[in-house]
Amino acid sequence: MIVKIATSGGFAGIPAAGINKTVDVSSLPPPLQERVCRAFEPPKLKRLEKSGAPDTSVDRFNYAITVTDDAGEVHRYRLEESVLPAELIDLMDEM
Amino acid sequence: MFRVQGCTCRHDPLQCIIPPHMLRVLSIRAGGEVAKMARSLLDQSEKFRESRSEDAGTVMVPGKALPGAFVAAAMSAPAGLHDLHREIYDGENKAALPGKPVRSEGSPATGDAAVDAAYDNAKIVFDLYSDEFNRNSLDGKGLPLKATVHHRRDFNNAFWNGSQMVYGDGDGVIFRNFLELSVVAHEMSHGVVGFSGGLTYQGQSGALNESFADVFGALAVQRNIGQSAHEADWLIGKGILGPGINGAALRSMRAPGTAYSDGQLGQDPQPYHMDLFVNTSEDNGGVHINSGIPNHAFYLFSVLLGGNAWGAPGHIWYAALQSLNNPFASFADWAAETMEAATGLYGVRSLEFVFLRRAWKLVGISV
Repeated sequence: MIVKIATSGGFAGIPAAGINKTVDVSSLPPPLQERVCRAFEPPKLKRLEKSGAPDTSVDRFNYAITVTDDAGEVHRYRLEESVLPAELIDLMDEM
Repeated sequence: MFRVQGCTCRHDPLQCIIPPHMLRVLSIRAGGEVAKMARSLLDQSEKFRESRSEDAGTVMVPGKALPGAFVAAAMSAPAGLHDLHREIYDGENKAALPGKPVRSEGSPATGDAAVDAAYDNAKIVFDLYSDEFNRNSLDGKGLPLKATVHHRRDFNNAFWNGSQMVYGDGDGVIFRNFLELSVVAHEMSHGVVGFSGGLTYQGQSGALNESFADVFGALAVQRNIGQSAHEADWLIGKGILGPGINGAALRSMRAPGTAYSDGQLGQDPQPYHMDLFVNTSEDNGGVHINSGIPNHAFYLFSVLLGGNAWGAPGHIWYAALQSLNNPFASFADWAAETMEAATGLYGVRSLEFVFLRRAWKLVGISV
């Protein structure tokens, strides 16, 4: 499984200031590997993508997350930061 | 419910079609039944506006100065004592908000530079809105100023989440920090926009939201150090770029497009004229890019007029926001609203009116 995370927006509005990382989950230590696989399951991300409530926040990042599963299937999601649980954001920072 | 020509509808079509100023003329000049009808519709119209105001919560209320107009609640609030109440939290490099409380109103400095800068700069911005615009905090009703510092790990951002300010530490490469005064004032001003009816964060209205935050970011800095429009550098985020970055700041209101030019960051993409407007799907339709155009109009107006930008220019921008009542406003709508505000505050042949129109024209917007 490969997870790609890219952001746009933010206070600066500069792509270089945002997050841009690609992680081959198989290269992570086993405990982290398990947490990442659970957190980035496509159905979970799909639910988050559809959960967008009216957002009053400004200057936050918008996330483009691409998950390539072990069968080679590619899943793409566009998520506002406000819908991401704090635990998922912390995990992104840890990856 | 009204029944007109066989139709049943919730709104009287006459009420929808005839503007209030015409009804007022009819009620005075017309005779008999027409005047009676006009007075009746004016009464209904007044009740409808009050009901609309209640529906909208407490954001927009009927204005006193101009019958039929709506202004934000903070604009109609009486002058009085304003309540400064700051709460600073330590995010401890995690994403959960607000984090651990570390400093509240009146408590001494902590020695943590980020905590103390968030605390001190919040007061400077609060004072700008209170002293110059008679606004009691971000919502006009004494909202406690909550801010979280040390948000996430090496986080290159600061934002307003709808109820509080949030500041990252920066990664030390692209950004040093996000607690410079213009950045703090920028984020707090997003709160003011939100509590004044809001500007949808997409395309031109989003760029106006960004521009208002930059304008008041610049005003907070200039007022704090007593700089006139001619003396100021008009930079947003001065000194927050990393030590190896070739740039003076994040944005320049004096010369949009020139704040930085760097191998990692690229070239500052802000336009200064409508001819250079950037169409993009990124960044909510380029809200941080095209804000350069109204930013530059404010700069030009302030310099043409001279004196302190937090004087007439700031008052016109603030009044325009309070009376806008259009979350989807375009640049042209906003320019027209500022002209209305200039007319209301200073008169139709005033220097303010003339220079403001010239400033808008110089950025490619005719009003």
